[in-house]
Amino acid sequence: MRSRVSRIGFSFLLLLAVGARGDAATLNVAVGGADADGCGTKTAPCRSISRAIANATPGDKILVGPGRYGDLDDDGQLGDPGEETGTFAVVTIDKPLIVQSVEGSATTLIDGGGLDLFGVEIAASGVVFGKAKKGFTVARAGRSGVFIGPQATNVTVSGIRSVRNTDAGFVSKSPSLVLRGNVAEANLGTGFTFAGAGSTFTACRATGNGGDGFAIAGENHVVKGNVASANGEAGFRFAGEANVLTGSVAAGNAAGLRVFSGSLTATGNSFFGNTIDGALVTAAGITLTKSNIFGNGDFGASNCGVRTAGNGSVTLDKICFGAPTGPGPDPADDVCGTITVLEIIEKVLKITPKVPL
Amino acid sequence: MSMLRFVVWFALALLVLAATPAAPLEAAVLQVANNGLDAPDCGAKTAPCRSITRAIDEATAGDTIVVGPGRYGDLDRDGTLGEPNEEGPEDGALIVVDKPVTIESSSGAVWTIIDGAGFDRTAVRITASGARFGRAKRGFTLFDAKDAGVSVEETASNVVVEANLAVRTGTGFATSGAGTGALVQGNVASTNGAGVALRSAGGGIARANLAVANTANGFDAGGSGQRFEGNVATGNGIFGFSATLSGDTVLAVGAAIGNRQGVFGGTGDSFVVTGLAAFGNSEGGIRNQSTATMSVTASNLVGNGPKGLAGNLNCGTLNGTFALDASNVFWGAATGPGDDPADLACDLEVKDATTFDPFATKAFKIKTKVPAF
Repeated sequence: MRSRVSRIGFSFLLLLAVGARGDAATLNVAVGGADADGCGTKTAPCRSISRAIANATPGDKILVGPGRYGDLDDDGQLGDPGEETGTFAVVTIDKPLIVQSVEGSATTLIDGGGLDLFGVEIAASGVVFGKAKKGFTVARAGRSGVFIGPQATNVTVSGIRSVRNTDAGFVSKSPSLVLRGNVAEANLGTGFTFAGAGSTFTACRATGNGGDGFAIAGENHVVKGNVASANGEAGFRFAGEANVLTGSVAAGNAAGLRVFSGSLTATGNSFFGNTIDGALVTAAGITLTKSNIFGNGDFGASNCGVRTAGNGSVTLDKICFGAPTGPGPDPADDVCGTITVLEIIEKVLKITPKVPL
Repeated sequence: MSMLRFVVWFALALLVLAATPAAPLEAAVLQVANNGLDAPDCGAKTAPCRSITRAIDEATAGDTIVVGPGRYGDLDRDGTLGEPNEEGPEDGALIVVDKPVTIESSSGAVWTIIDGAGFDRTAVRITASGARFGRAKRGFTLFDAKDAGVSVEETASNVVVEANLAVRTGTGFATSGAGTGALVQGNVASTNGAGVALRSAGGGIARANLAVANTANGFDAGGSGQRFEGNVATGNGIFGFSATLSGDTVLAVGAAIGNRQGVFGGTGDSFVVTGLAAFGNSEGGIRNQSTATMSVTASNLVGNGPKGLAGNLNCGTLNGTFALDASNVFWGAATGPGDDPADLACDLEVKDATTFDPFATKAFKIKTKVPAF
């Protein structure tokens, strides 16, 4: 009887959910549109994403056509006809909405225009911003490209190219975020800066950013199948407890991995050709397993695949150091500091995250 | 068969055999890896080279060089090339491809990096006809080289540059010199000075590339006979596509989104634009400055302007002195060019120099296939 009641209750909730979804509207935005009360229909799309957000109700979907959105006349002020109207960011999503492009990131640009604002602010829980092949390019913001505000949880961000912003590509302190298939490229700050707890990062790429590729603080984050390449500081930087790094590649950064503090489970990663160190660890008791570590440490000729400093200590297990003899001089990488090496793998491990170009 | 006939046939067979050229030596595959060492005869799987330059030295025409993941270039970033295991030491370029070889990565562009280390160099200079640099899913990242990411130069013809990512270089991908038939395909040029510049005298093709957030132009045509197919230029600082000091230039299918001006026709012989989507370029969709013959057809010009030369108007076209044929274009409204939500046909210097009649009454379907997500 109890299970029957549960089933009825569940069905009722499902009906409510379906009903709610059935009421959800789709609003359209296009460069040929015009902002007006009630804009957003297919025949009368809005011109700005901000206006469509204002016209939407929670649960609605906003579909944005190809083109440029922002300070259209480049006069340094938002709010002219057809322009976005944010005051903290060019576009602020302050309702639980789905915001996607029609054609994808290559042809849909949210232009920060160098204004002293974020590109996009997500200020509500439950927002879905972008999707594979339905994302945006967010560029030239005077601050970070995409900012997820502290009050917004359970936010999903996908298919976004955040490029050439003055600070980070993506930044948040909120918990329970999902970032999938995004690119942070040539931002002056970090690629991805996240604190909070319990977020997942999958198939993202950080390339050529001035700071770290991924700077992860807080707890219980899962960073899986990402690539950090050619960033000015660490490819992946961690400071917090119970974080996970797996299936990822750090190549050509200053350091591949930087474990500043806390605990990290790191397995199945590659650290190739990072200038100073493959991994630099200042936290105690870190274990790296099933990973490739070679071609690192050419700057200063340290040849350090893994280095510890301060109280840092590392155990390395099932590691390919680039030579069958294990850690040592070129062509292998060496280990430098308080490091215990367990099993050596002779053959290079195949680790191939699938990230966007 | 008579004896005589047998002898004749036998002799003919011998002649045919003698005339058949010896089978060419089988092309070799040379390996380069971050755990390799530059040494005489390096390149075997068990003894890969550390530098691409060394592998090129070891290769012969027709060979393939497969490059493993990691970083290549001025490894200690001290500004001097040619130190052990580094690229170089050729002046002005990290890597010079002076043989008709194929160079590809084993794992793709995003973690196979040629690092210019911020110096005034070209990352990869190609001077040999028939060379190939990168292929689908097997390209490179060209990073922080103040000159070009990849430059096809001198008389190099029939060169292919494919599936690479150029970030923070002077020009992402460039051709110059007297070569013909360069194919620049499926690359991404992001945050460079310019994205893709085809300037060889003999012409080339840029196909399905993405140029995004470059400081100057997304795509540039000079020289003669350049063709742009299926490319996208988004958020570039000046023009999405530009033809200046060029001969005949063709833009067949493409998108110019959110650049200062979408397409610019400067001095040249002719510029034919077909199948262009120019959306949201801040100063106008298409500007015809002084090209003697420029035409635009089967294209969508929507949401361009309102900034710039024509006094803050929403100009789909900005025409200077010469005639511009912009018939069969969709201007954002079924009623043709006009005020918002349509785009205008703006004549800057000579009244009615733009032909826009007949206009299209609905948008064209324009599909590009750039490396996008």
